[in-house]
Amino acid sequence: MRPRIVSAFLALAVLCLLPGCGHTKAQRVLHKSTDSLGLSVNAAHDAMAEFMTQRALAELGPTAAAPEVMAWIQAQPEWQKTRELYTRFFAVYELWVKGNAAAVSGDTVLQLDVALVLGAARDLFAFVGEYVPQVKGWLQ
Amino acid sequence: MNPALITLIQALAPVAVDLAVKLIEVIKTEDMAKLTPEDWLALLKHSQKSSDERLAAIVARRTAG
Repeated sequence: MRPRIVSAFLALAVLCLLPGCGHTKAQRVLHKSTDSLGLSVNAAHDAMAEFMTQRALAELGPTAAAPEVMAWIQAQPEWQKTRELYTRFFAVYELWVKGNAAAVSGDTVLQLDVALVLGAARDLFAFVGEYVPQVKGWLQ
Repeated sequence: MNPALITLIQALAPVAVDLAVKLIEVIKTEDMAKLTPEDWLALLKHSQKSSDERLAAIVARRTAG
């Protein structure tokens, strides 16, 4: 009886390890990780936006209106760089997700190395970390 | 050891290797050339819009209007 149960479990393990099934599971894990990475990138971007808003209000006065504050922030090189790094991350991320979805469905379209996604996030964290201490060291 | 168990373990090994190879294939860069400049531009514009919207929301929260 016992060997049969063991065999049944092993058969199940083999089924779960079959390329298609296992592949999908691994993708799911990988997607969850990169989803978290996307949230962290948003958090770093927003932390920089908060920092820049405070700087704008210090510069323009606490009663400055939103359009004036927006214009001031958008003119700052450090914000332009943050926006550029954020943009690059999500462009690479979207491509990576699409490439993986295509791979799962057996299609052969562009597939990006996950290292590109991580590198893009790391670049943003390193840059924002220079201004916002709590972001310093993320993904190092 | 049960012969059926040995057979299953033997069957498992190549499948596990195959799985590992497939995973490596998925995360490697394959054909960057398939991406057109228009594709890139669309992706970049979408992300820029997202950045601008997030900034605008934060500024709106911190200012009088």
